[in-house]
Amino acid sequence: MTERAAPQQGSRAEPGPLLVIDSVSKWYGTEADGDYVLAVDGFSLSVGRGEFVSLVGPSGCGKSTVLEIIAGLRKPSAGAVYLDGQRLREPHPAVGVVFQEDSVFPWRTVLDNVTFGLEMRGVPPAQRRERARRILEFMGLGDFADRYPYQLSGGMRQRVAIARTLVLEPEVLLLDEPLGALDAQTRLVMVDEVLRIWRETGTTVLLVTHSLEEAALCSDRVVVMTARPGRIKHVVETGLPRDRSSRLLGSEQFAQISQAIWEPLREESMKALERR
Amino acid sequence: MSQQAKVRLARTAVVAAVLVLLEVAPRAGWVDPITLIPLSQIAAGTWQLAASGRLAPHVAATASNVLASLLLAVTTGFAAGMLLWRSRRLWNVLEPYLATYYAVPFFAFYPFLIVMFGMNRWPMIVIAWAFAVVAMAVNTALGFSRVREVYVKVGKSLGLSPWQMMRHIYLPGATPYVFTGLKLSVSYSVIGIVASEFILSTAGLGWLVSFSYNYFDMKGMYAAIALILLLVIVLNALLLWWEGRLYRREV
Amino acid sequence: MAVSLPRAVRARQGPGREMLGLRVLQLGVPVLLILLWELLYRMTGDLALSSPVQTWHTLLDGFRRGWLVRGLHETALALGGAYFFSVVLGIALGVALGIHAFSRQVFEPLVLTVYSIPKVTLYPVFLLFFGLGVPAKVAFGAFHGLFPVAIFTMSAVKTIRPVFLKVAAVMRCSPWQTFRQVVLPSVLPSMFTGLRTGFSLTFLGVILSEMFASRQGAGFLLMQAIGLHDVPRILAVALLLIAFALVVNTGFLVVETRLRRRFGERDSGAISLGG
Repeated sequence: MTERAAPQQGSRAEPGPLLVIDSVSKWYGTEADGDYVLAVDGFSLSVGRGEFVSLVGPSGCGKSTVLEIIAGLRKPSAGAVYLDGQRLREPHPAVGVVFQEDSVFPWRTVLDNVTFGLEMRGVPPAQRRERARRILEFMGLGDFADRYPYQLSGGMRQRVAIARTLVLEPEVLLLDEPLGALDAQTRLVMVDEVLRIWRETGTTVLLVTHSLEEAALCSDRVVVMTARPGRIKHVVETGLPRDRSSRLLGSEQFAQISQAIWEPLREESMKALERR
Repeated sequence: MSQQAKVRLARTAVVAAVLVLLEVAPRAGWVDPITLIPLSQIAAGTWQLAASGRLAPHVAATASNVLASLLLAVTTGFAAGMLLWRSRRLWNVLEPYLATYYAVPFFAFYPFLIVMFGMNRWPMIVIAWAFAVVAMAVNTALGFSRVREVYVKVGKSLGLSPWQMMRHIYLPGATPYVFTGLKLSVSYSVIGIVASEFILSTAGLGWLVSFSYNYFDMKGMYAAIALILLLVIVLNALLLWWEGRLYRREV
Repeated sequence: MAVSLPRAVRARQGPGREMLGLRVLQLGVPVLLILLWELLYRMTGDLALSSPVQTWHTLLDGFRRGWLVRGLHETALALGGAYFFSVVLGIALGVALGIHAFSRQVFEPLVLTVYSIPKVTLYPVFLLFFGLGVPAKVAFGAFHGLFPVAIFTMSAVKTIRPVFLKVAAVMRCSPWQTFRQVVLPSVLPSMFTGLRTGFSLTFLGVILSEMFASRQGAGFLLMQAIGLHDVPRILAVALLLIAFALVVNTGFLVVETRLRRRFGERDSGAISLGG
């Protein structure tokens, strides 16, 4: 089991996949200038509605590039991305992104950070505050609405960033190593948080991570990418129940999934290491 | 006692010691009382000067000149900074000149500006503007180009319009640097105006110092100097307080 | 995230043709300024302005007949003395405050406040203490220039990476070895920025003091020329001073860039935009 067949366009029998990434490639520079770099090479993937898919690969394999192309932050050099059969060319309101770096605006309070997207979309103040408060409650941030980000820990700030995206009720949630900057224990707590959000909102999640553990605990499917240029090397179906959590950590099942991911990932990580 | 309290206490002691020295040194005859008059007399002189009403026109002259040059420097500096930010090429061409700009002794141009504009406020305003504008421009450009990339990504992923990006991402993101530019501009404007008044002028606090000196009115001279120092210290404290409020929010 | 590259590194990366174009444009800036000057001269006439060519001839005349040389001699003397004292006192103060955290916390705001006052208004006090002449200029020039030296030295000493000092301690370095191998290389680049800024301000201080009250020196020449309404002379002296300041500052900058590269600092004190 290596690459999946590219989905056929137009044939939307049954409820088709929500998100389709069709042979996306990204390169920089030109051969003539001698600075040609192929970052992503013919990446195809389709993600079903409500699915949780993780993207893992050695650093620099282009997994974040793929995510930014889906988010509309970068243009693919070739190929295309479809949401519900509609081609995405720029940031789409139904696609939300959470970044690795601390992206909470320090000049706004927690509440004003969460209302930001609604404000930009012209939602009336009373309504956006009401929606933001609901999300803050949901994220366990209810008591922090009027604080400024500097008064919160890194983990709490990342919750605010997630809340800011969730309040817009995205159909697809793109997570770009959202837990990468947190310490190991906080990460595991946040893994459960992400799983809860996924279960309770029914949103579709695409998680980019360099953590084997996160991928193995969270996903329905784990996509392992090759070292640059990024291609799909292997896909692991975890078969985890919908009601899963970090408690899985010591289980036999977790060990098996981890093993299945680590074999191909190890090979690629060695390649990436030796190349530097 | 907390560390901070200790620091504050020591700092107060240092300032007090200097003030006491200013009082005692001339009285004890350690320095010639014509060269340095005791602090209490300086304070009395400052008070008299302020109470006499003689001071008002000079304060008004200095304040209005500082304000005019500051306004000019901040607006033109901000605009120039935006230009430098938008045009990478312009920045690259001008960068070596910006790096050496503050080595230029602008005051050497002051006599020339007097010939150009006449003995009025404009030579001073131009000098102070030239002094302040580049600090504003450079800090504006730095501020906008150092807005964290992830904030820009958040804005773009939400599909913000260029105006929304400017208003809600770039402007607040650049504020700390822009404020630094503003702060420097205030300092430089004051220095530019007061120093020009001091060298050659017909009014203003700087002029009052040189005028008193030239007429051997030591009490008046020290009073005017004390007044200038007081004004600068108050202005600095205000800016620091404002900045503290601004930075409190930054992580 | 984008890290700004030092200018020299960026220069080496760019393709050669582009770099050449940039240099040509950079050299075009002074040419453009001179053209503007000439244009302005044609518009305003002899009373307010002298042309670039006239000014050049006045400058040559100043060297040939000696009036400029005599003035510069005294300025150079005062500048040399003043800079010596601003460097010695500035470094001493900066190192002391950098090493001793408590003193730094006590004095830092005071030093910054003194740095931001229009110091020239204190010049009469220097005149009262030292009398009219070179000593007053030296004292005032040093006072004008020592603060940036002290401030940059202080922050350089303060920001030595603690892990470097730990490495030195673990390797059982002697105090001298620690200073020579760890402290000096860490502080040198930033300290040099202070020395450069300090020089500019010392120079400005000397000129200002000469403009206010003096019987000799470049600043005096400027004020004398304004009394005589001798525009070419004002411009000749002003431009000479500016050219001198620029040349010295550029020299400092070149050394500073080398130091930064040599001692491996990533972010330079010289301004640079993020890429």
